[in-house]
Amino acid sequence: MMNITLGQFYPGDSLLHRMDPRTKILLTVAMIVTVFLVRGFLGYVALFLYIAAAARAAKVSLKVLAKGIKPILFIILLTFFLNVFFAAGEDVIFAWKFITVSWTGVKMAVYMALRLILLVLGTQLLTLTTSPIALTDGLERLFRPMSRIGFPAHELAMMMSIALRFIPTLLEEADKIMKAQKARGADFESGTLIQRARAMLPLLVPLFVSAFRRADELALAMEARCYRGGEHRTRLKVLRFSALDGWTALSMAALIVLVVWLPI
Amino acid sequence: MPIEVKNLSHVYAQGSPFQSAAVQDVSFTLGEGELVGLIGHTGSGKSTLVQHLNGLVKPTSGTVLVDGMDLWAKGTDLRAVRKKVGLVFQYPEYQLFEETVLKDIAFGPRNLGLSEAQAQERAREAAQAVNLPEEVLERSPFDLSGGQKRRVAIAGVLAMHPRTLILDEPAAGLDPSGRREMLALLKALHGRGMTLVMVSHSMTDVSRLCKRVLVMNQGRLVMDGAPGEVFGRAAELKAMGLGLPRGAELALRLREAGFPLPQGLWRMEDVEQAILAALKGGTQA
Repeated sequence: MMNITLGQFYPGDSLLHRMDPRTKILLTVAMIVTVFLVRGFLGYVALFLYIAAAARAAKVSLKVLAKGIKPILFIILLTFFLNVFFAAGEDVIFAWKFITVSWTGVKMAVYMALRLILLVLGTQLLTLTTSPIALTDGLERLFRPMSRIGFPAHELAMMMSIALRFIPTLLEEADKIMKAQKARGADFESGTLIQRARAMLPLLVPLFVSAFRRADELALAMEARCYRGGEHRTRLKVLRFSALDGWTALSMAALIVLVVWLPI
Repeated sequence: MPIEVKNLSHVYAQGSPFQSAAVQDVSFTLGEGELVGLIGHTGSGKSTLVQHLNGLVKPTSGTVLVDGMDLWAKGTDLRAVRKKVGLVFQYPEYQLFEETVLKDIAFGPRNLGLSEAQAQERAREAAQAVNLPEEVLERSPFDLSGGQKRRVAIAGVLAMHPRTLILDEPAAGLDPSGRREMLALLKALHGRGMTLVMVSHSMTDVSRLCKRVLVMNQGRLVMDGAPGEVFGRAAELKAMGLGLPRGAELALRLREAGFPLPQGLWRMEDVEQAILAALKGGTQA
């Protein structure tokens, strides 16, 4: 139960930790786009080296990053094999009934898998080095211009940070209720699917009751402190770009140029 | 039926930056029919420790034996253990979920495989044991007062007929009369031959009830003895951020002020007697 890690933030004080969350969000988006701009194998190497360097700067080992691949390993393998067996190409190596394996297909499959792996490795750097609160702060600031056309940037960010704030609390609570019901002989692990779904009731009812109670108390506490949404609200920590952000953005620009320039 | 804890340690989130040792190398034995108070500051590891006693949490190292049976040996039926060792969590009223009080109390016995009728009978009997009025049984548990809800939750564990009952902060958040009733209830349960462990940070509550006191500090079991003995080590307790029961505090301060009182007093009544005796002695001399 407690192994669910949403927002797998690793506290630290590395270069990446100190960067403005907005920079990190934008650069992550830029990197995702770059992954799809890559034209040949050398480009993937360049991208991988860049991510490895960034991981070094974040003091995160590649091993930790590689762990993130595990949950989507199935998807990677699936796309790999679909591409190998079904992508059409002229230079056929092997054909049997409806299955054709061609060099183009194999190349495509390897590239697709590399793309997915690089995507996971790169985006994880953002979530590993940015606390959920900083992340929502950055998103709110980035979306603020859109509030002119009625986009509820502040409200969405507030909802997100409250949700993120309460995930560990509710998990802890769920764990405690689960243990308490287990102490009364409840069994969450065995039985048919229907039995197991029924067995969740003693967990879910108290959990919902307490979630509503907490929401109620939180709303009251916020009102007692005169919360009234985003207007005229100032911040304790004002986000500021530093030279570090500038240099990192520059390095990303260089990478994009390099990747596009590299031969196929 | 002793519970034996040997060199128990528990580390949370081992191998991550959030790693912390909640319990470190704790050993003690709980004898049949004992009434033990487990005291410690918030975060001293007492709640984690008691969750090991019925196999809810697996120790990082060390063993827990219930009736000589190792809880984490292969083939141990943990549900059978949980039937023997009942655990009431802190704020247990937050785990109620059924439509009626009676059904909620019967949840435990039903899980033991008893028939609906037998489970209900046990539920009624448990409700009586915690002094719940008959008319409450058909109501929704969410409509009851805080003190009543807590008694419903305790009845839910009692209905499983455990021989050992562990309660984590049973009096927390209750008003003074609710607190007194809770202590009286625990005393009555112990009177029926049940082994009782009461986790608390209230020295006064523990001192009123328990015949043996365990003190935890920063994950370690630092004291284990009779109340008079433990409360005699006032300076150490204060260094851990724990107070003394009111009686012991009074006796200590009087002694420090030069009043001739014997050591090892902690019950208010005893202190009162000792003061009277000392005063009488004083006037005669």
